[in-house]
Amino acid sequence: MTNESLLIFKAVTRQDNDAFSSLVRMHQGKIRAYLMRLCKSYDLADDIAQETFLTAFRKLHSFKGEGNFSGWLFSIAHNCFLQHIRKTKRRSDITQQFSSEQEIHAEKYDEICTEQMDLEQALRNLNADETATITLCHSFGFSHQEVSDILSMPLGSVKSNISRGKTKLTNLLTAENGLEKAS
Amino acid sequence: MNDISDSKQIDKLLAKPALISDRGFSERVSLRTRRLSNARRNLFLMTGLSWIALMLVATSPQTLYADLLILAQSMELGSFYSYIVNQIEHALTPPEQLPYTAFAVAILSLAAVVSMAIRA
Repeated sequence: MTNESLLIFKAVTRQDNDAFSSLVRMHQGKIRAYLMRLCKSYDLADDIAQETFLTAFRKLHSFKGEGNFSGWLFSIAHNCFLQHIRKTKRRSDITQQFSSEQEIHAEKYDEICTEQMDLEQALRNLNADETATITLCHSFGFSHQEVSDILSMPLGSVKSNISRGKTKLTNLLTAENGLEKAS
Repeated sequence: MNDISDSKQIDKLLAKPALISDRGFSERVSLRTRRLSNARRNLFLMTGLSWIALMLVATSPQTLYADLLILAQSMELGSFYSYIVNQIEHALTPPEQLPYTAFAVAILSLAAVVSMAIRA
């Protein structure tokens, strides 16, 4: 049994706070990075990440150990994000507002190089579905089927969102490089 | 700056996502989960204590005892149980009826609170 499995076992069966805290420490970096890409705001991503972990804590009994814990957390995180969107009812406004207002803050990350900052900046121009599918599939290593399950999205839509998103990313980064080379 | 417009280069970069640093986030979440656990336990204890208080106010100890006796007899656990019931019934006959029943209710209440505390 791996250390993570043991912590999950303790957290699920005994509602062990310490075990759950260790799981939070293990997964917070990924969950917050994912939410940051979706929300395009560090503060909002932190709020939704907190809500995600609290929801996970409340629903620990419903985690049956089928599939991986990380996927289960991403699924909750995505639902919390969607709930927030529904609550505010300003999906496009929020996206536009934060993409224009927020800059990438290197100090918020464990480690980030210039290329990664450019990529994060380019990802802000994608819509939520494209960002979510690309992030889960390419950054966190989930298969198309797993992404489909996590996001409750048809498999075909997952593939098309990834394809469309990557084309957009390539175009954006090409244009950015072209401009920099010209200047 | 390196050229990151190449598709393979983008895949490589995507595969190494920049993770957000903790900076006290885990502690904040742990604090909230602990508060949630405490709130749950307190709610459970309060419910148990309220139930006991309600039982003691709404029913007299004798009525409570009579109900428990009917319940025990309906369980039909055999002659040993009947013997115990008879002994208790005999012990609770007047004039010492009230102190014994009150004592029995107190024991039952204590057992209820302890079991609730353990479950919480």
